Amino acid sequence: MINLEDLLSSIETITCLTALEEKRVELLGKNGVITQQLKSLATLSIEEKKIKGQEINVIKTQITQKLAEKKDTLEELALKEKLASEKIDLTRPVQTSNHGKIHPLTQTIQEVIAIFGQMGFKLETGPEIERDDYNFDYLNIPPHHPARQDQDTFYMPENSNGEKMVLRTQTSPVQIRTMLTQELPIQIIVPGRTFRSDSDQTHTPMFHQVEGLYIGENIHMGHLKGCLEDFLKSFFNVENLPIRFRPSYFPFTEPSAEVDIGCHRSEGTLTIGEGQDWLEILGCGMVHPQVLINCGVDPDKYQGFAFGMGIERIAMLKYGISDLRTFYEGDEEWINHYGFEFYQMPGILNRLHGGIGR
Amino acid sequence: MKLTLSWLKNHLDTNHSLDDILQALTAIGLEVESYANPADKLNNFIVAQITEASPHPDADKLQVCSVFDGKQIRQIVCGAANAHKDLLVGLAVPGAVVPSNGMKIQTGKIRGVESHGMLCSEDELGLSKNKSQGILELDKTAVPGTPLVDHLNINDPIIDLAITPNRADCFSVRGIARDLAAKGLGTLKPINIPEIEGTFDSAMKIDIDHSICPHYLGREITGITNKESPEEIKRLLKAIDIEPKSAVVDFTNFITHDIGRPSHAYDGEKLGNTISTRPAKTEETFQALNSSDYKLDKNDTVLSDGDKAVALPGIIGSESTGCSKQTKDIFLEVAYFNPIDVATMGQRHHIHTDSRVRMERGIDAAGCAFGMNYLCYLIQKHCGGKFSHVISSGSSPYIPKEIILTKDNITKRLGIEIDLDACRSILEKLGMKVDRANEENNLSVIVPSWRPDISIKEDLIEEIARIYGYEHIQNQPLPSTNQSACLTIKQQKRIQLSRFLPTLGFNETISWSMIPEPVAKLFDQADPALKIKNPISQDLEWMRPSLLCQMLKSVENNINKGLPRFNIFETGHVYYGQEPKDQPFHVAGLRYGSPSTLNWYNPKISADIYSVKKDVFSCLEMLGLNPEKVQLSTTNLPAWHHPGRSASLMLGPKTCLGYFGEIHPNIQKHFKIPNPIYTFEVNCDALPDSKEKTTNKGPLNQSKFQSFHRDLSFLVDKNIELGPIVSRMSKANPKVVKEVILSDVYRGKGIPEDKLSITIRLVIQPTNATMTDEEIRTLYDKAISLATSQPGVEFRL
Repeated sequence: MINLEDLLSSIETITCLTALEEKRVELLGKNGVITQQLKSLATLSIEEKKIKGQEINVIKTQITQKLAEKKDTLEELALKEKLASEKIDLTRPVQTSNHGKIHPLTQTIQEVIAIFGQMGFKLETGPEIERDDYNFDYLNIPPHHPARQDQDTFYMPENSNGEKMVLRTQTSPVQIRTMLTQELPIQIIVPGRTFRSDSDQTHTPMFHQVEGLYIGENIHMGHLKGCLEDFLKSFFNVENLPIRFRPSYFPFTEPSAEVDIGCHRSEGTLTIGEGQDWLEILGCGMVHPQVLINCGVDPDKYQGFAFGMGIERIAMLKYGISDLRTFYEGDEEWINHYGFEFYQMPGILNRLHGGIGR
Repeated sequence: MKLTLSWLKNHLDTNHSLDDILQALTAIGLEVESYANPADKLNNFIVAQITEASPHPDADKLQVCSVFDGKQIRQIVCGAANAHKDLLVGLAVPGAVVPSNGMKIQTGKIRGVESHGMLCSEDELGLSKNKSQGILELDKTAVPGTPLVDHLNINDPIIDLAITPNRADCFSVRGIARDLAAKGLGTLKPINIPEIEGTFDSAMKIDIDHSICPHYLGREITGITNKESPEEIKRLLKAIDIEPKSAVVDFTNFITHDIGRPSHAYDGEKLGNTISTRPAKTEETFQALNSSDYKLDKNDTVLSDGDKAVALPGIIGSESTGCSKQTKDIFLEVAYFNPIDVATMGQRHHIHTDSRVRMERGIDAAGCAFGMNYLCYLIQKHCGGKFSHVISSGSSPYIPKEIILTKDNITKRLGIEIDLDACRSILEKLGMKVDRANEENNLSVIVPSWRPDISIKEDLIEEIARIYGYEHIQNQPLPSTNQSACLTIKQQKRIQLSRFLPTLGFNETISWSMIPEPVAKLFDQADPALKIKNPISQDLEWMRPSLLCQMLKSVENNINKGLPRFNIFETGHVYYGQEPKDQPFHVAGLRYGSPSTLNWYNPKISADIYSVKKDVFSCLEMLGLNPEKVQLSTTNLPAWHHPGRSASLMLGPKTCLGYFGEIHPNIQKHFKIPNPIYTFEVNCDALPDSKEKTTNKGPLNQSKFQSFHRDLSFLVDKNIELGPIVSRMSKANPKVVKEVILSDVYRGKGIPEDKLSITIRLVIQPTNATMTDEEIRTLYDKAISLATSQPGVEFRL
């Protein structure tokens, strides 16, 4: 006779899946103990068959269940062991990313474009070896004008048409080129390389400027002020940035202004924002009617404003870069420190670079 | 432009504080660069008198002085040779800080003798830039115990203004005072000077070219006593860093700054009897009053006395005819010289004088007579003398001009309405003659002779705006007319490129557009049109023909700092010529050492040609070009590339997009770079314009059939180019062959020495139906036969 308890406990003591399978065959296989028992029922009477059969089936069910349970348990154990054996050392250092950095001047130029772009300005560029007259005469700077002496110009040999050529001392000739060729209204932003023969702590023979020009029918000084205040607050990301427009002089604007922003100096650090000091940041004004006439624009119908600023200067102020000359040295440590990540895209999706109408 | 507060108040009747004045100056466009009161630095300095001076027992050059400070006698050790009994001196008592060097005075022992203070020299007090020999000697009126600033009358703030080049009139204290009065900070005081009558006719003959000097006034004065000028004049000149010389010279300097009127005084005894203009002789040397010699030539004009050059017109006089304290007779010159001639000559000879600064910007064209009389008044009062009648040549070039200004003009330009009476008042206070013109809202304005910078109505609007105050112009949002994109596709791609290259591991550099001559030679830059005529240094003499010129320099610098690897890129213009089209926009990348940083998990490889090939094709793709359209060529490679390890990128037979490969060993050597260096450079302007694409991406057509692949191996002669084999195989059945990948190139064990074993994977994507075994076999056979159609390529398995 089969002892159920014994059978169950013999299953319980099994410790591996192979032994369990052997046990299943031993009990439930073709020649297994239970199978034999069921076969032996054939010799019994109908009554006995019914009673005995029920007994054996109960035993079979219990054993089948027990085998399944045991299998689950052993499989779980086996998985645990396998996982334990698969442990890997995760402390080995990896290099997070091998990407390079974007130069702060490029980043700054793109920030400036993003802000003015939202105001409707279009990007425009022009040549760096430029006609002397586009760089000066068209801008109302005649040969002996004192303002011309202030700019130490690099001269190039005359071109094949006998025109005097220079390395442009400002991005302003792009204003001229645009007005000579494009339809009004004109609303452009012009970043670019400029050159002056000057070299000391605060000057390099090559530097970058950004120029803006908006000529339309009714563009007045209130627009100029509004536009530049929005820009400065957005660029420096200072909501209540003090801004001061101060009368000044440029041959190509009338009236002209220099713009100062508030700052605070203490113990050698400079903070942009409210404070006791002012920092000169850009020059601007209403375009001089003579400049419009030079470009074939009717000054009685059209007027507008222009502005210009140094990219290096605003980059240095915003990002705390103290030495101008280091911008052009291509030093690895420098770019790793002052550079920007490719995903730090300027524009309204970047919290730090604001955007107008915040 | 420097002035002092008291000097300003000579012209401006005002009760406003210094702070108000400083703020107003900046607000009206006369930017205050700095201000300082010398008195602030002279606390604890008092008048004292030496009552006894005896030699120091232990030092030859020192004296031990007894000094009376008004209350007590102090013992002070002094090193000045001029310290002697009874001398009235400036004393720094313990606690004082010496302005010139910041030294704090303390009681102490000098060579064993106690000293209770210091006797000061003029330069120690910050009152003069000249290194004086001894201590300051005060005049007899000084009373011991009086604060030194009170005795010296130097409690007078010095203001330094940055005057814009258009405002010649504000290179004078009077001009500044007039602007402040217009701003409402006081009233301009009238100048009342009696007419100084002449008593004889001068024998001087004036023969002047009126195109150079439209108006010339001269006057002879005889029998003057040219002594030191009055204390007040000396004090004011010293405050603005002008060393007093003699009364006549000081007066000319004084009116230059006081009313902006340069003038010149010749020593009459050293001067001939004519003043004429003449071209300078070739190689003529002019010895000027500033003790410098100038080599003149025919382009220069001089004032001559018939014999020698006596002045460069409007700039500076000659040393030989200058005045000294011994001068008895003088000849005064007050003239209006042509600003352009003054500027040109001044620039050519780099002479900077107070006269030139004013003359070239345009002084008061109608002011010669007033200037002459003012100068003569000062001379007569202080030096006496006998005055000739004024000799005049030419006439004032000032022509009064009417400008009509309407209220609309003002409103349209400034964006705010300003009351016309307020505008009128501002203009009148600035010296304009203003009338209501015919119509109600019009002003008729006559500009005064001292404002040559004003000629059109916009100039007047600026005057109104700056006095009214820029802060009153309200900000307005821009009219929103422009809704199209800020960037063109090309511009956008270039911005994206600058943000893409860092993802390939490149750091961005920005370097000089100019290069030294040896580098220009190495890079074949020979067109003289690209050489700067006046370079600032030999390192920055030629315009770069390639971005790599300076990038290689930064490699050299970083290698010198010990960096083992270096991946940089740059974008910018290069220069093939002076025309805009010959200044194309390039992008270049450069790899040296390993592309990735050293780490156990990173591949341990060095950069090679294929790494930059990958870079350049990634760039081209990013810029919108299908890389398959690009052919490689080795003809016309630039001189800076290794001829066997570089290629140019051709788009069709004529358009060269750029180059990539290894840098020529000669260049590598020049920049002292020890290992090979790999670069690419693309001319972005040579790329075809990409067209604006629709934003609609279209439907995604996915095949429902499974893709599969097959690897095919070939044995190839080692000098056969593998690229064409891969291209040929992709033509086996373009409909289903999705990709052909050169997955392995092997050379070594098991392969003959002159052969390579290559593996090419065909990735197949059935589109319409599952492919039959027959179709698949045909495809493989076709691919294999295409590959082996070239001698030297043999199918392995």
